[in-house]
Amino acid sequence: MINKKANIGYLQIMILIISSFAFSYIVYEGTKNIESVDAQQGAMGEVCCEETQNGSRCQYVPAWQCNQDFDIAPTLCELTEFCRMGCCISDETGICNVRSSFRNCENLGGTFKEDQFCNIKECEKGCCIMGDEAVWTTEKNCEWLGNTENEDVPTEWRRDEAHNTEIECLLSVSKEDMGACTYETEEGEKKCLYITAEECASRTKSDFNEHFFKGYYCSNPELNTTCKPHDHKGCLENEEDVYWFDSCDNPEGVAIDCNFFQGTYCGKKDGEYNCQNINCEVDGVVRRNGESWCEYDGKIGDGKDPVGSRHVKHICYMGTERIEPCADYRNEICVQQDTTLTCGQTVSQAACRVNGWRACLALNSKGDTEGVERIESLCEKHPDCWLKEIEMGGGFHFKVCLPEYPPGFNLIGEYNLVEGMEVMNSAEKVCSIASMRCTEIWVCGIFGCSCKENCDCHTEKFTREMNDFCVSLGDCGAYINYIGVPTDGGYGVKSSKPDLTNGPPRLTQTQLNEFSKYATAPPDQKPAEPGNFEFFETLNPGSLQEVTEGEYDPQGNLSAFERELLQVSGAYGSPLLLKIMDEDPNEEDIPGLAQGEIAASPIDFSMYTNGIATTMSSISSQIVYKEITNKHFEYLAAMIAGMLIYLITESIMLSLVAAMLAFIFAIRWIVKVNIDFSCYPWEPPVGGDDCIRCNEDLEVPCTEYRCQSLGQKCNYINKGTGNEMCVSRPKNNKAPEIMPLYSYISENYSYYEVTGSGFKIVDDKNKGCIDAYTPVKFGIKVDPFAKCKYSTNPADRYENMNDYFGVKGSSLLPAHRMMYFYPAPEAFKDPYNLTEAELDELGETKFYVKCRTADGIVNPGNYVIETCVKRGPDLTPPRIILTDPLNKAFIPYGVTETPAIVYVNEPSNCRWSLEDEAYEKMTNKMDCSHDPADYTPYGLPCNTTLTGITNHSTFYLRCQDISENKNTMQESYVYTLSTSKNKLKIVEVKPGNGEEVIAGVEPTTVTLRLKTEGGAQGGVATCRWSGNGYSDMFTETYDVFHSYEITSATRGRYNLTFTCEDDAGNTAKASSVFSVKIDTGSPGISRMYYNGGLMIRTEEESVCRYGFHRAFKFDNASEMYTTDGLEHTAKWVTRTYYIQCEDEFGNKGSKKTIRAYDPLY
Amino acid sequence: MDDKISENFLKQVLSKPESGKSENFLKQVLSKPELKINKKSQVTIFVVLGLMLIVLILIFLLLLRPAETEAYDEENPQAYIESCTRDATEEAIEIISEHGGDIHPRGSVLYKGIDRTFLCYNSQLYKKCINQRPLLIEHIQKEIENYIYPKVYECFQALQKNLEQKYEIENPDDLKINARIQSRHVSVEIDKYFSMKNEEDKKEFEKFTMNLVHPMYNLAEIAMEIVNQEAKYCDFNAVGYMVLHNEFDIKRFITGDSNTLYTIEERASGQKFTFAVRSCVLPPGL
Repeated sequence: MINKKANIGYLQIMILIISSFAFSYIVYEGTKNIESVDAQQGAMGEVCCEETQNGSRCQYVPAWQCNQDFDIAPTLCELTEFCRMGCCISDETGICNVRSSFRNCENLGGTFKEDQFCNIKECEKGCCIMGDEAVWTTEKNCEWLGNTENEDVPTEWRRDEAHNTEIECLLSVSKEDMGACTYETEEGEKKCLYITAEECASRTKSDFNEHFFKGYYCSNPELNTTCKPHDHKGCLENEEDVYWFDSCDNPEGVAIDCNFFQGTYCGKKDGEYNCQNINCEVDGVVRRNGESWCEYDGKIGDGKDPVGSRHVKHICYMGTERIEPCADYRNEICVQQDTTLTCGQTVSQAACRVNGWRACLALNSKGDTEGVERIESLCEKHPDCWLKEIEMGGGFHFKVCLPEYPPGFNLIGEYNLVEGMEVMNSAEKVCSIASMRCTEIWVCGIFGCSCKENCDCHTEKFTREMNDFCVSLGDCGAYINYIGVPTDGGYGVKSSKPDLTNGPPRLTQTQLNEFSKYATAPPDQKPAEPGNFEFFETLNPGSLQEVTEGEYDPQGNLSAFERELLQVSGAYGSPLLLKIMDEDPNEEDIPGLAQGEIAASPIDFSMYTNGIATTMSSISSQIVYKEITNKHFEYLAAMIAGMLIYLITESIMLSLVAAMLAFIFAIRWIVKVNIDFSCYPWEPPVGGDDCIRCNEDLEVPCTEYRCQSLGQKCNYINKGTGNEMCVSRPKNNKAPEIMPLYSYISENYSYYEVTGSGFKIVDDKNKGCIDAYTPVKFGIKVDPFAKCKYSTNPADRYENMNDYFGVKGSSLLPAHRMMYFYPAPEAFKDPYNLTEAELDELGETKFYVKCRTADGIVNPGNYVIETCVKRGPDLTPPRIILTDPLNKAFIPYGVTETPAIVYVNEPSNCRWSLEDEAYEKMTNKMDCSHDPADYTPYGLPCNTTLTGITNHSTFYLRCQDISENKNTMQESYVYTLSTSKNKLKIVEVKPGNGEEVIAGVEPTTVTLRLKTEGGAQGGVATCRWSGNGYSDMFTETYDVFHSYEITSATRGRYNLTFTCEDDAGNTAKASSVFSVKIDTGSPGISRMYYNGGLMIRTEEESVCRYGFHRAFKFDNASEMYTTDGLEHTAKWVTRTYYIQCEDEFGNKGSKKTIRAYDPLY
Repeated sequence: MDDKISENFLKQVLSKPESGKSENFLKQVLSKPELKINKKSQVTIFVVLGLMLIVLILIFLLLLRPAETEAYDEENPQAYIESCTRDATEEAIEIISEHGGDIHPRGSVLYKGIDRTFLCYNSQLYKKCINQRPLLIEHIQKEIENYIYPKVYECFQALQKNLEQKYEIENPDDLKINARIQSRHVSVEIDKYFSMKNEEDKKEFEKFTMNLVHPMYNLAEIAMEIVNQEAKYCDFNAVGYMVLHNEFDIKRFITGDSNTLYTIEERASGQKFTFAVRSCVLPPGL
């Protein structure tokens, strides 16, 4: 039977929980300092350094890292003059460099163009043909290569339908154009070279036919050269086949046909040239040259990737197996796609792509706006997410979208201090998502209680299910490391009513050991899915494109995104390989391929999705971050509110009178039991015996993360030297020695009666109890470093304690900090009907602290921290902590009254007035809650409706507590609200409705621009765009001007909607339908005539230049005079003109030849 | 045998009056087991003596050996300068290739014990990298010029020193070096006046050139392509690229700190270029 003493005990626990988080005061303090913190960040925060001390250019880093000899600006680098991003073009080589900074480019003598991704004509790649060699490059680079390589070789740059992609370019040159080029030496000897006709003409300075014999080898007897046929065999550079060479060392046909794509390549073995096998044999399996596949440390997927594990991509290339580990912490996963060839053989292609786990967490937050079913559907479709359903036999039933491949976290605890307060690190934040409370409903009668709702919550099922939830979030909960060692320090479970139910049991050692099987990949394990195209496209709103409407689509049915990727050098490699592998090996390889077919075939773009997804993930992660933070508070609020409800119920239940009444009237009563599951970061095994295992794995390199996962004593050394090792720190058998953290205690308080087994926290003046409603910071030092927990039960062992000491209690640290905030015991007197003695008892608390070192040693006895709260009459007036809407906020245009909530730190009554007057004179009463169950992180709410709001309205608020003293605020809380002067409007949209954006290259960059006016702050608003199923926030926004770059816009129609919202909640919408057109046509000359000089007319605005030699260089030629860009004139010379025109997008027409005669004849 | 030697040695010592110790004393000393010269000690002594002798002989031989001289073709100082410049240039290229474009890396990461320059870098999480060495070709040219300048200067000084016994040398300090890296070769042009005159003849030189077959341009061009793709897509598909350009071998390695190291190798020559990229880095957790 529960007695009143137990009731006091639970009340103490509840208060302890409140005090541990010290929520309302912290929030109050936090909000009070918002402005000053921001200001401080502006002064001491990050800046754009033109160069950092370590030599990096244009980095946004803390100011102290800047090299003071260079420019520094307190803003983002993109917004500075010196570090704005653009395209840097080499005047010498014509090579373009994306995302180069302005100053860096100028200093190096390059030409800077504003488009950071070089979507400009000068950087468009085409096919540079130099003899029998083709290079996919820019026109200017082609010209430079022609001038600097072998000048005898004619060079031509083409970008037409036949040379539209890299592969078309590379395949466009053919050895069929080669032939014997004969010449005589000074000694009269007839020699020969096997080259192209153009090269021959250039070398011999003669007509083609005289010395060139197309298709002939130099040893052909008809040519009568000194070269003897089939003199020796050998390999040609970059050619797969074994060739015959004549005695003049000219190649003369294939001696042995090798096939790179089929796994053979020319090579020398035992002095003989032959086709060498370049496939790989891996564990008895033949892997084809160019094939790639995934290997894993253990189980992957279903939220079961072991801690420290890493996905690894393996590649077979030129007969050697090589590994490319994906990014550590499972930020990248290895995805694999298997293709069955016509011959029945399966070929794998693998890629490391970003792990979309952040998106899974973000999806959970969209349930309110998009509907739960939609979120479930999105989660199930997402290749990196899975939907977990938890059901505990009642209302505790929910679905949550979780990472399929849980991410890794930094396993070493670090101090995260914000304003002197420890805050959670990212691992702790993510894990805390699974910290949940299940409230069981018990029905009690005088003969006992029985559980009616959520009754699985006190069973092993709850622990197991919640731990699965916890583990799937990342390196959290009870799980194994990649070598299969389990630990269970990453979670806690407890019941609020241990006398009714002890709560769910912890996982048994057998259950923990069962996890070890996941350290080995199961035989039927499937590799991670690459994801479908829809998935990849949703990750990249910046390359938004619309379906083309009957416009030129040179690559068949490919989407614009695909088309863009195909312009990337190397993009065709993998599909080409697959295509050729699937060809008949006896057929000619490359020339036999239909290029259009390759382009239109399904292409595995997973290799290119890494970055795209990565970019998007930054947005997702921010969303997640905010929501986790908010959610965390929600959980706390719910937890505390629930606790209070329980206590009220408890008090009734424990009342003898109530029991008698229940008996008399056969009334049963309800008891709520809260079962709390706490999810913490996964805890590495104690000690360091396994550290060495990290160095033994030859396939996966040992990294800091893997090393950390093997033991708390493991240390990663020799970083970057090539001799990286994971070693154990020396063993330390010393038990943790705990003492007060003297440097950390609130002003006016001190540690008192410090002994080896504990201390007291007292008021510094009288060594007495601490004040109520006053946050007291305190901490402990521990030597050696240790993790610390506390309990209010002196009998608890470390393993059974469920609460870590402070936010960082679960980290191995030399000190741990906590904040203590205690309400006045008197506040609980009436609601709980407590006596003076009970109030005294309530005000006294004891923490029993235990710490465990990395070697697993726990302090043998309890370390006790005692404190008490001052009793006596409440003399402190209440304090308003927060208002909603916030003070000085704006409200939407046209609104004259608004509901408002005022949060007060203690049970009070509040009033408001338009005049600053005494509480008693104020006539507008608020509806204030005095129920401890309504306690929120910000205090107790008082609801009201504020009326008569004008342009700038000031309200005066005062509160009076409900204690016997009725303490009243003597100064008003001045609360100001302003209405918006006018509506928020989007006054300018670019590109506008019906507008055409014409560019010379595809893809091109289209900048969306908006201008907003009105609203609460003269148009300052935050804007988003949406369209075609995509949406994103403007990159530059919260201003009156907003911009966003679609970096890879392709031709087509764009239908976008823009939504802006200001701080007051005013919204404005606009839309625009515009089209992007790509002008790749060259300017045509429609008319040529004499009119006092040579006159030509072009079909579009152009610049025309002329010369009198066919080979003139456009940039160096004479420019024709024009006033409108359409009519061009040059002086009349009776010679042959060669004229070429270029439009504004850099498209050049072919050279026109005009023979001019004397007009008089 | 060793015992006998020790015995004789002792007898000799004992026979010397300056040894100053009585026979009894020595006998007493020798009778103490810990001071007895045993076989192992004797072997050690002789090994040490033997080694000292060998070292002395080697030093003697080295001293006797005539000083090494470099051969100069007096008729062709061009060849000497070319050779000397080639050595310096090869050295510069080797350093640059290991460091990823810099002689003295600035903004780099230690990988396999060597600092590798970040050609594209962003310290911020999630963000695409910023091109750190746009115009890498031109940058490498400058690095080579700066590195070889003092060495080429020394080449001329050495040439002068060697020829001035027979010639009257004019070797002013003015020196201009122009390095060019082009497809599959590196050239260095040296603008420098140098004349050598004797009673019979006077030779004047104003320009020296050196050509080196090296794929530095091609390696740097691929590095720039990788940087462009990393800065735009946060990724580079090495396998896809190698399939189309199998004359190059590209190795990609992501470290535990999310730095990506690239090594490009021209398979025919085995020449390599290693550099680092840090782009779109995802943190552990959020």
